[in-house]
Amino acid sequence: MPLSSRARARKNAAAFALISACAGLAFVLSVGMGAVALSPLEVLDGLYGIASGREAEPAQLIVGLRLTRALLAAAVGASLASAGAVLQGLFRNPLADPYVIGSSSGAALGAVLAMTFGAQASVGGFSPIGGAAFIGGLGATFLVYLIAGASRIRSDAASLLLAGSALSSLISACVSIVLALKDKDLHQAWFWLLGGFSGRGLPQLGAAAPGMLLGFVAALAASRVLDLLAAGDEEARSLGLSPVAARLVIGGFAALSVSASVSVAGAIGFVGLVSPHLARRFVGPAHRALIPASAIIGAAMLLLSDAVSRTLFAPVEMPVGAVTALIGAPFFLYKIARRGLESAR
Amino acid sequence: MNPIKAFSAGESPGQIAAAGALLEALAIESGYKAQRGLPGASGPADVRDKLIVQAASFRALPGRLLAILGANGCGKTTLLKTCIGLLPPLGGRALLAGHDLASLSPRKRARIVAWVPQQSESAWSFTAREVVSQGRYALLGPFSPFRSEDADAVDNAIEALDLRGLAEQSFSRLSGGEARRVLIARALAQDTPLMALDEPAAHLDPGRQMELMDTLAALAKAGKAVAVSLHDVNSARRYADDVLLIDRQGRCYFGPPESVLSPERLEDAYDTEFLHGDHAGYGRYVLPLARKKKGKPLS
Repeated sequence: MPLSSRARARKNAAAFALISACAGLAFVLSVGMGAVALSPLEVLDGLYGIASGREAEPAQLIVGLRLTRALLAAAVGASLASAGAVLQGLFRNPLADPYVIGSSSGAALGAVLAMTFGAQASVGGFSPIGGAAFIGGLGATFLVYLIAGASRIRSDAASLLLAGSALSSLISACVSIVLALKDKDLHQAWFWLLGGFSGRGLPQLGAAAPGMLLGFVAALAASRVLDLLAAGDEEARSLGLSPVAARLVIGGFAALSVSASVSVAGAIGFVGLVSPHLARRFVGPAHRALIPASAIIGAAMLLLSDAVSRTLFAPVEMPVGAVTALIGAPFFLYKIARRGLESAR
Repeated sequence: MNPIKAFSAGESPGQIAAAGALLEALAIESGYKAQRGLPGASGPADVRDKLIVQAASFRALPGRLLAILGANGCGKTTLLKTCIGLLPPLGGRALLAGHDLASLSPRKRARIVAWVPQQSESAWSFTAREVVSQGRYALLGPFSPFRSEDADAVDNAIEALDLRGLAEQSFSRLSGGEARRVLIARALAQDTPLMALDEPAAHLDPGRQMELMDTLAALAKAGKAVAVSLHDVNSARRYADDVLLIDRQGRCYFGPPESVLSPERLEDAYDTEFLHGDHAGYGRYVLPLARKKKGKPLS
């Protein structure tokens, strides 16, 4: 192997170490923040206590209570961020995110409809609302592909992007109408529209984990294909790829992981948009490194956002999607203003 | 004996069938499919197929450099893309290494022919080495791991095009000539018996043009079939083993350069009068002398 690529591998290893350390710190901070604040050392001690089966002390009990929520936030963040990296690659567009293929808004509509029709019971981590969100997310993506595929140019990136954003707006309008008709559910509906982890934990994580995990593995497996798609359909074809089929399969798996995330945590924006941009800074654009790096950064971002949403106006909890938007949107505007969209690549 | 032949649609394509040809175009017709409506249907221009090159029959043979010549907009690029399966043919057919183009999957096709576009715009800023590595996809597919022989092929391609110093630079920041060398290196890493290049000499200074043509000639000499669209008649005459000349009506003439590139045909194809010279060191050359009145437009 030539020296230069060894040097690159070393640089990437250092970058991964750095962002992993940041994510670890975010995890400890997030578990420590709350009505009873714990120092990072107390958190680590509590985690050790849980792991070793030590007899519970108060701090350890608090850590135990917050731990599952933190795990869920990390998993959802990683899932949305890696899906975002996949979708940006799939559409060759730095502005693509899980909203683009309609899965976020579709999942929100599914949840709101299920709520309106009074589905409340849940079995373990599986609730009808979560299920409806999952189906809504996948259904919306399917519809986007169907509409884009109907045009003569067949599922090219631009028509998918347009169909996705138009359908997302349409679905958002439907959600608003449903909410206007059933205003007693407004508060709960908020949760689905802006996302949150209130009252969520291990059971919900267990229900969503298979979808998220499958989506993540598929994203990693697609990394070489995503690299090829970057040069455009014709060139990808000349290199031996079928871009239309690739977009169908890879987009389907991305929709799967997004829908799984939204089914437990609602539609959380900006994690999927911002994390890949940050990750590209650290490890470059090659998807094999970009996707895991995005996942780690997304996990860190959502852990911190959740901590802020819980503590900033405690005891009132803010929707976590509002916090991610507060962090993510200015970051994005700053990037655009500073160097134009070119640098966003 | 005059080996030039203008093939018309009525002629049997089998007449030029040859064993060992890596690309064999059999009365292929290229252009753009109608956006809507039936192919070939009559009607207003936007519902008809736009036929650009009629019934082109030619072949690219291993160890030979094929130059495709013609005026701007005559359809060189369209024809080349059609013959390697990047555009659907409007008629006729093409064989790649004996296989009908339509029967080949993209990956199988990419193991026979490597395509070098004029430029490549990636959405992300990959390094030159990463771009070259993408040439291995046809052999690896989406999942199999990058082996040491793949890394060697990439290194050799980088070495062959003298890109060692640029390998870790961002592809999007390279100059036009450097980027083109990277794209040729990618095609080389693809390790195909046939390489098709779209006007690789465009926008290069004379020295770099010559360097590039030397590289292509060396590739041909090493056994590859090289099909290249060119603007420079002199380069074609000097480097090409076979020439395909497309005139302004979309008719094609195929054969060795000295017979295809006759004064009359050049004048007709480019609508330009040429000065024909012969230099002891260089050999025969042409210089544009006077632009003729523009003929009636195509279609």
